[in-house]
Amino acid sequence: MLNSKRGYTMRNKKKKLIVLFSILVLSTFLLYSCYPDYGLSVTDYDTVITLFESETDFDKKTYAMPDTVFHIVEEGTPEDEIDRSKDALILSTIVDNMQKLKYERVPVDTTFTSPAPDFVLLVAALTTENTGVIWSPGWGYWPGWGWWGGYPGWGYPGGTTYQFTTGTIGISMIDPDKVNLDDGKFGGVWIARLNGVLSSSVNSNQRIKQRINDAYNQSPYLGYTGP
Amino acid sequence: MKWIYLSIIILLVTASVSAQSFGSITYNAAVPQDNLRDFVDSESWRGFGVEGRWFQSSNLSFGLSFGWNVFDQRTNTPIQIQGSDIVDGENSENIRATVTGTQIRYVNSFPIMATGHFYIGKKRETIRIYGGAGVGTYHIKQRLEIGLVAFEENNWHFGIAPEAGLLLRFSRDVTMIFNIKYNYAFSSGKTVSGEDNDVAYWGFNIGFAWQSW
Repeated sequence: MLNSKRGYTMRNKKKKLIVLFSILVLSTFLLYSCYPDYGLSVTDYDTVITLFESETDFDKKTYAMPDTVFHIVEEGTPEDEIDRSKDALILSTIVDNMQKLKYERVPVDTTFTSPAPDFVLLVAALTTENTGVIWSPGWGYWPGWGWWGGYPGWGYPGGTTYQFTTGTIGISMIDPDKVNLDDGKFGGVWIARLNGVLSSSVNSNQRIKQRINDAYNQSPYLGYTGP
Repeated sequence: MKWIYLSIIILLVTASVSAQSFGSITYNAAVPQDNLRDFVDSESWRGFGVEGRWFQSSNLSFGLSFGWNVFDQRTNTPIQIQGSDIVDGENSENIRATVTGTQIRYVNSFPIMATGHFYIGKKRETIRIYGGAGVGTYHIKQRLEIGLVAFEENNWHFGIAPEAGLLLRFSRDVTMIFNIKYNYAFSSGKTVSGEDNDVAYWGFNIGFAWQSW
């Protein structure tokens, strides 16, 4: 009788131990695995967004583009503090892509004496400083989410803050016939936004070229098919 | 997260001390279906289930179950967006957008079910086949990360989970459990893309059970 009772108690203890151990294992599993880490590199944070107006006829011949990248900077920033080292690369990659699509580049005519081009391309660049949070172990490494959608900011419990810089290149294709400044319409018919984390350790020239090519590649409706 | 731990603890502790009861812990793999497959076209190899069952007779039990599976995928598939979803204005319906970049997609599913099961065969037989179903709720967390932004939707869904399985009894203390479960969460709330969001997946579960009788 006593042995049987002891056996029963031992079995119950064993079961409780199994249950407690299971809870421990499952809790750890759950905490570490809700968002498996993919170990992304800097280039994985590049995005290319293109928008176009579906009723626009892009099968036209000419375009004009100033030989300038407009840098969006804080008011009063001295000209010599603006980094223009990538401007030539950006503009030449755009020209190459437009050429492949059989568009013909015409000079920018500020005197309005020659016929207006079918499209005008404007290129802009923007650099932004961001603050993010590396969360404590268990929730992976989410660079950059910090600033999205309202953010806890410095000293958030459980995380350490860091800073990173993002770069954006914007290309706007404008149809001069659709510009109406009185209504605030700038006549954009195709817009590309290329966004990425700037890092000196990664080949930024190649990334810039590739992302501009991506913007054109994901826009199959562009191109001139005439003579 | 507290409610998850609480459910697990209550389930495991009560099922391990009650008479005529059965508790189990399973490793859960899952295969997404329909809408879920459109979002994450990849099997889930991360998941578990805990369950407590209380026998009304030798062939009938009622119980509670809790589970978790994460479906995740890295993809570069372009996202197509209708302009009226992202911009305002009279001409917005004519705007089309394409977004490319590395995306990480996640769907975490947490079913919490009341269950009923019917068993074939006698209580202490080596192999017992059973069928049953769960009715309850699914907490679904859907997340899309692209570039430097993340979109997330959390929804509670009403759901059902028909199931067939077998119990393999090795000894008085060791029983293995295998089952196949069709998890279906009815549409509720919205997805990150604003579409219909019923969620379905097949679950293939294997684990250990302990029985008290």
